[in-house]
Amino acid sequence: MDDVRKANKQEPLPSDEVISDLDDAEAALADRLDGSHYRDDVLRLMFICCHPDLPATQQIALALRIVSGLSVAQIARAFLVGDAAMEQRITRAKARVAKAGVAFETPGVAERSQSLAAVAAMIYLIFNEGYSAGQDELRAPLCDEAIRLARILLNLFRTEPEIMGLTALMLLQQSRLPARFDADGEVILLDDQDRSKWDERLITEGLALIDKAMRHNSPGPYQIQAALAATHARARRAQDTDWAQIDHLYAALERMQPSPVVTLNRAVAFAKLNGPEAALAMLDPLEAKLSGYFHYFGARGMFLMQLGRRAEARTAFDRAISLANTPAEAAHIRRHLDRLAQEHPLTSS
Amino acid sequence: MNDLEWIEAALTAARPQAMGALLRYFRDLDRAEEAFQEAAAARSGRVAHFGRPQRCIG
Repeated sequence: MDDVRKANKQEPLPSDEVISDLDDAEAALADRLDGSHYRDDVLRLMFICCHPDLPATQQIALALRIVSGLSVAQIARAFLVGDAAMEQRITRAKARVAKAGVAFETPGVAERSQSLAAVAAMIYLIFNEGYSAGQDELRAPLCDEAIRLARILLNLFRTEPEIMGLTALMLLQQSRLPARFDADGEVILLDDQDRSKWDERLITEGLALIDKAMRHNSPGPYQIQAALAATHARARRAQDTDWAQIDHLYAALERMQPSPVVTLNRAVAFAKLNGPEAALAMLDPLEAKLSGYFHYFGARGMFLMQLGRRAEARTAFDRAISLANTPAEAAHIRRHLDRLAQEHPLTSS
Repeated sequence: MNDLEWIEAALTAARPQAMGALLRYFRDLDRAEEAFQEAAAARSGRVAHFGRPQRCIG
């Protein structure tokens, strides 16, 4: 025993780098406890903003106020309403949340998973609010804010594949921003975009994240949508797009989250593989459910135009214009109508 | 980046965690917000007076 002690005393001390307990022995445990508190604190804070009783606009407004710290005036400008109206909207949302009660105990695995899903949906709502606003300088920054919130969440829940998928999805969609509009502010479709303008930094990060998420082998809607965006991002030219892969991914999304909008998107991929007639057949059963949806009539008009059914195409485009959400969307459809008028000014079909 | 921009960025970055912890403590959104605003105003005042805090390197 003495020999062992003596030998130990003669050994040089290890370097600082390999000593794990330079601080108080409890520091690491305290950090972990703090970390887990913070995770649930931030998740709770975000979760109260997406109470199911709150309409989407109130969820977004509350999150931007409470989590992001934007002023009421900033949020009001982004939503094109007066300060007083926005103040009222936020106050109402807070009152509703307070009335519903907030759980303060540490959530179990199932509750945490449900909260994460609700928060992810709310963050994606914020992103879409900015994305659909196009170049509107007040609302477009909502995309960056949504990505920032997703990064916070990802930093706290590093092994959640759906949060990786959500972040990747938004990064990949945002990477196309510099190519989405022309000098006049008109929409440029994905096929026609100058892909050299896409933001490589965001693409690299998004691709790395979706690859990492997929390795968890626990697919979810955000991962599939991110994989769709990644398939586009990997095509250096529009003609290199792997449409079969896109159709396959939309089919998976349809099974996981059936919705007429997903089927509509799949029809676009289907048209690339099987022609506009086959895609049109996919759209017909959706009309009742998507009768107020701009993109439905935009896609329908495109397919009809490709088939040379000009009168029907015009009717669909007219309907799309009446449903356009932004001036850029309306201008894009008007361009198709102008083309139809120029090509066949006197014919009715 | 001037001091004002720096403090704004620091507060924005700290807000979710700070507000989350304050909400756990107060269990009331308005009181948590109020406490955060007070702390933010105090910190902004210190930065305006003493400049940005220096990271300890010793």
